[in-house]
Amino acid sequence: MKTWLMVVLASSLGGIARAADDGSFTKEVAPILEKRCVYCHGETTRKGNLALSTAKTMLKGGDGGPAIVPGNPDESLLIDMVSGDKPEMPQKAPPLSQHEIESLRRWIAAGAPWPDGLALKDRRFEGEVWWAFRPLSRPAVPRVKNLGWIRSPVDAFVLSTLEQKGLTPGPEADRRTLIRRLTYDLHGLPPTPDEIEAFLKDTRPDAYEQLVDRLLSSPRYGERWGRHWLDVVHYGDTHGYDKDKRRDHAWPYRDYVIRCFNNDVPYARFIREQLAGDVFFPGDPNGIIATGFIAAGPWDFVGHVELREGTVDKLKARLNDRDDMLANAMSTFQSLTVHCARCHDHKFDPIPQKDYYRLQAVFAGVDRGDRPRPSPDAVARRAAIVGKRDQAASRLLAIERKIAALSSPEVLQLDQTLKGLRQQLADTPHPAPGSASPTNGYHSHIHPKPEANAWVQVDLGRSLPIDEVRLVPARPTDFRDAPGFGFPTAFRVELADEPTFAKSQIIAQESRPDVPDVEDEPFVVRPPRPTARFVRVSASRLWKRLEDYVFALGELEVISDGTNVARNQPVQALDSIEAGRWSKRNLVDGFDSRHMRPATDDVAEGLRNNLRFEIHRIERERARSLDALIDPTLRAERETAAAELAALEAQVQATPPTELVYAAQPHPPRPIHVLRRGDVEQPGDEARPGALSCIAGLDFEFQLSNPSDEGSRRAALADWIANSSNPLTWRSIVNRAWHYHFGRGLVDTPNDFGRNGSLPSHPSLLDWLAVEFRDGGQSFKALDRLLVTSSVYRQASADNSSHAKVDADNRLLWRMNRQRLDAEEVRDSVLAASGALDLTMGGPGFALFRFKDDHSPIYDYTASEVLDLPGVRRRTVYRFTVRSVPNPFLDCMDSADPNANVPVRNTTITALQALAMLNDLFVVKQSKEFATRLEREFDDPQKQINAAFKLVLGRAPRLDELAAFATYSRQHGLPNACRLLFNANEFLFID
Amino acid sequence: MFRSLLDRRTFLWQLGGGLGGIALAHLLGSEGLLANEQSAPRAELNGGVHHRAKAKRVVQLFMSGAASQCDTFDYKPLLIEKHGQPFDPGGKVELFQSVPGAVMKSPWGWKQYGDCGKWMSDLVPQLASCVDEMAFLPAMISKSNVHGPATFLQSTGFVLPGFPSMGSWVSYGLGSLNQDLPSFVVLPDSRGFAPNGPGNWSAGFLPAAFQGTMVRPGAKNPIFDLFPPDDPSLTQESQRDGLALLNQLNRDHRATREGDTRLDARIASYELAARLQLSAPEVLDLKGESAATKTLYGLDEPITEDFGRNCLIARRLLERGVRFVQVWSGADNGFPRRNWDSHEDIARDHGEMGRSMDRPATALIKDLKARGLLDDTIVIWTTEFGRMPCSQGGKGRDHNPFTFTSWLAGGGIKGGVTHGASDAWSYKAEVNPTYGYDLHATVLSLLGIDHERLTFRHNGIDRRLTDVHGHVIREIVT
Repeated sequence: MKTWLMVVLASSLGGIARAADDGSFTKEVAPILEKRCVYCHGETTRKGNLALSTAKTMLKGGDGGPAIVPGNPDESLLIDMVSGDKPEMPQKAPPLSQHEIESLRRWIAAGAPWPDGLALKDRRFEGEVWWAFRPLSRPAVPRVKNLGWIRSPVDAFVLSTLEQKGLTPGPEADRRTLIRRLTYDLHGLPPTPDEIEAFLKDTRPDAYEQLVDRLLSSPRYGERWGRHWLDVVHYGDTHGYDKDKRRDHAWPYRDYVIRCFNNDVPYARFIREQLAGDVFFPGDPNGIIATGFIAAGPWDFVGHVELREGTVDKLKARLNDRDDMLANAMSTFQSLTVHCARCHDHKFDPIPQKDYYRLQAVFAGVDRGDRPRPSPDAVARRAAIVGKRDQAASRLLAIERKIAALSSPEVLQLDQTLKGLRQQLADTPHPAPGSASPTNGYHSHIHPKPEANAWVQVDLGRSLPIDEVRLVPARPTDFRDAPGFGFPTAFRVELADEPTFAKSQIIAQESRPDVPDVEDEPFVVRPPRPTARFVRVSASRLWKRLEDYVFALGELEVISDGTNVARNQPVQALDSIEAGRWSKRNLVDGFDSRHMRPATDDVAEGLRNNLRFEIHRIERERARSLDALIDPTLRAERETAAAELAALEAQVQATPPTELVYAAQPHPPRPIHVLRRGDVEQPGDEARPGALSCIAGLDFEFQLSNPSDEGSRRAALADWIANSSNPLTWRSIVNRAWHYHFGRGLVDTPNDFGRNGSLPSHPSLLDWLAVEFRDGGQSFKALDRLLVTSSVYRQASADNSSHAKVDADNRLLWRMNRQRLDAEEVRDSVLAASGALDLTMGGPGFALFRFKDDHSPIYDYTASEVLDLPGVRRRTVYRFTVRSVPNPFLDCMDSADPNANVPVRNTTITALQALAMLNDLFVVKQSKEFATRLEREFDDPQKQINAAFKLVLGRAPRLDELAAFATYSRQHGLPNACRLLFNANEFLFID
Repeated sequence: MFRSLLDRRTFLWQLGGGLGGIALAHLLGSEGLLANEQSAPRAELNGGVHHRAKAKRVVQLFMSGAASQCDTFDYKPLLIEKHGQPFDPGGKVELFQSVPGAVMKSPWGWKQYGDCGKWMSDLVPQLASCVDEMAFLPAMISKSNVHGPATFLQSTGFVLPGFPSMGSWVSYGLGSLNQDLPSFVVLPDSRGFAPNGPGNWSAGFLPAAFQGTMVRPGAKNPIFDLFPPDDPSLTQESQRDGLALLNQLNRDHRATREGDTRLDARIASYELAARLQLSAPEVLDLKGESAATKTLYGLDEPITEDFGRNCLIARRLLERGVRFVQVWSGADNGFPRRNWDSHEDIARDHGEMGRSMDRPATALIKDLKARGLLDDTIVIWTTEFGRMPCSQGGKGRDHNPFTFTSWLAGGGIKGGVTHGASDAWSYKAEVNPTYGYDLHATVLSLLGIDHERLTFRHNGIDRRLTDVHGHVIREIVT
């Protein structure tokens, strides 16, 4: 029995630490413990409260009692747990070998000697570097016997493995098969009968290569390969979850992807644009659109919009959102399951939890949403109106100059006064600067146009007499230096006794273009000592930030009987950015953006306030005097010109130089902490932006000159990924290309190159391709050409029963894989055959549902009328993809679920698919259109059937088939015959 | 005919959605092919995969919108005592929409029922007659207080979209019990989809054959594309002759392409489709049911008619060997309320939802029992989270993820027991906190499946219904 008593005895009889270690522990036992046990039973992990890392903790044991009884292996729990038919430990891993168990037993029998002070560490990942993390180098092309079969190094690598196994490659497929295979592979569409005939008759020696080049240069190529990419990045046109709202501006990213494939954008550029195009290429119209990648996945509308700030569930929603972003980036570009390290170190790969939170920190300032993007069309539209507006403005300016030239002794007098006051203000010393400010102040939401409402108000707690209100402009320290940051160009200051301001008193109303620039000077209002509980500043025309507009204030002070009664009082606002140095409460925290504000009794500041107030007063007086001098004609002229300008200005405002794209929206980064067990309520150390520590030679802790610059974080990750020394990047992408061409990747888990993924079937070939691609211009089209012109690709798909005995799965590629059409190919091919396919590219997605906006929007696919709407016969890649309610027809055909990264499409075969191909309204309607087309083009029923076979199956019918289909068509109509062809295995499978 | 075990498994998977006529998982289990299967005990009873099963079918009643525990099954005298007083359970109270109102007792009275003496509210008087069949879990906790993620958590075990539903996992693990119907059938509320829509019965990354097949009783096409659209050219003869011609075409094609079982599977899929066309209308046709049965389920009253019909159809599906049936009470959010999300007025809105559910759910238990099916059918009643013991706006209740009640009955479930308890307020789980993972693990266990060993490798992760959590709740198992 394992009892406490025995341990006490054993310890007192000598103790294990004092037993002499003959070296067997460090050589034999420690490696077993470190490789197999300490990950779960280590100093910090302590599963079952057991740590096997030191002699002391091992003796102390865990929930099950002491782990060992020195001198007695049979009584030791450790031996018990790892022995037997079904050992309990290690969990979810192969059992220890007999040899290892024997080592443990011998060690315990010898009294369990343990070197003094030795503490064991988890060393699961030490030793040989996992294949995927090894640096890339170009392997030598192997020698082969059958040189005649070799068209490129690709063939040599594959053939060499086949020859080693005693296998031979299959024969080359016939030309009819090849053109069908290639056209589907590169376009996702069937070849037309004319294209087939032309290829069959083409006697040029490079007819095949010519065909490949023709296909690669067609825009259909980008549509096909863009769809693959959209699968991987889980693109969709709605948010997902509950209240699955539309994303009407997601499509520019989809078009961008298609464009990139058609334009053969080098891969490193493609990576950089998608992670940080707005940072790297700010002027490029693609720059912002490309970051649609980051925003592509699902987003919890309720969690982000409806949950209140400051709640635990809000934190969870944000954590999940960043998780989606980083998982998307690391699955797509690195083929790793980094997101497994959210709650603990990765179980299978050398990815500590800390790395995961470094990546969370990269996305710490990224939200998703519609973002203005430069658009050449919109710029041109706007420029035309701006031109007219400028003309109107100069007309008005000429009139204003006439008015400004007016003068009177009174005006001259006031000018003198103003000049003197300003000089006085300049001469009055500034108060000594207070301590540095930890905060900026209040900041409204960001608006696309200046004419927006924003307000912020302070609650004084009770009604008080008000002597003075000061609006202190912001001048943030984490933005380019901008005095008067966010100070509205039109605003008013109001008082009220209740928070809704239903009944209020306006104490100042200003329109900035009419008053000199206040720049950094506080705006001082001195009302005639009214009493009020609430003071509100309402902006009606906002300050221009970059390409957008905001309202911000550094500090708001309300003076009553010599005290700032606003200090630390509750602040409300119509909206507010609560992040970093900005918060509503920072409006009344005693600091402007730079320093602590002067005390209310500061003499210098008092003098300056008097002058500020006086300047505002005289300015208003001068404006009134001048106004009185204008004669009625001039006044009318001015009114007309002003009205004209206002109308054109409104048009300009309504015509932004941008359009929208659903993309990454940068904000000041939120602090990120390593979360114990992934729990937002258990934050640990703060995490700084970085990447994975397991890639040798790359700096995983980003060196950022300004970590509060959100974009620099993403840019650093993009550089880390697109680095030529990052082996995962290049292996991952060439493997994806191989997967799509051959139906299965060299690594058949394209999103996981870790220990839970598959090993590469041809490791040298994978590395050779990765280097070739990386160093050869990173051209997808060149890679495609290399792969599809190989002899490997041109093999027939026919079976070889003797080869199948050796390699049933065809991992070694002794034949081509037969592939089933994917959902998009099925739909597009049906439309192509019927002649209905609309090849219009780009733009908003077409809907295959009836939409009803509601609390929870409704997407109804039972509405048959949508099949007749314009635009719905475009290629399927352009459909509007709903996350919560998938299109039943395409879903049934295994289309990609936009809720998850889909590197490999399932291909299932179900009875529901058979029903869909037979009965779905789409197939029925298109069969009719197909028949109408055939009847229009051919008058003879036999010719019609002949053409139908060529259009759907790529071949003419045999005589018996022709007879059978003619009979059927006569009895049941040509549309039914067409429908049968769409149900043929020969249509749905590509040899 | 089969080239290799691997290929055979592919073939079986493709047919395994319930139509293959082959007990998929039985074969998988006995051949040791199910993921992580090393030396599985053979399936001896009810198709159990890892150990003897106590049940073979499941019906899940899902109350969408969050059904209140403290107005149904979780009796708290303190709420009656403190009614109208400030709600102060200690600590910060964080609500979804509102600030906490006063303590609010249930508008319904409470009585004790059955041999077990379980307290039930007057909102569920019929269910009260079954308490000795039921095992209550009043200390359920949700990880989210947002409908979408929380509904996913109960249906798929994850708060994120993209994961397989419990019904999909069960179908994947056990295959079908019949040759004519899908193994996983879903009956949505006739008024619309619950939050997340069909995502709640998605197969996620499992093969599509395992996804829930949505059935809409009364629709012309109760199953998507079951029958062709109305068209004079689409006659029975044209279909029959067409299928014969198609079969010939596909067999000729197959003849020159040895060694590809997918081609055989597709040929077979048309035969299976034809069987579904015959069996689906039959199962949905209630003409053969007696008037007494119809009354039992509440088909005679407008308020119980919809949910009652779906419960009755659920029984018919289970009878015919459907493995997993999911029945929804409650649609999406909207006004007036058409689900259990009673923020505004618990008496009005829960009153209606409760009455629409009580009689049909009771009928299902009693009818299954009368037909001897309850012994090996598990009935699950659940919701995504609970509601607050304090008021929202005077008459409603806000979300409560900290405690809510689920109950189970039937195959392998101990009747008349309660596992765990909430605090005196019905505000937080206090004794034996229970998660959806535990409920899922328990149901799988009763079906003969070890929840830690029913896995599917996806994108490099061995995924489970229970993620990395879950304990079988032995206390409620016979």
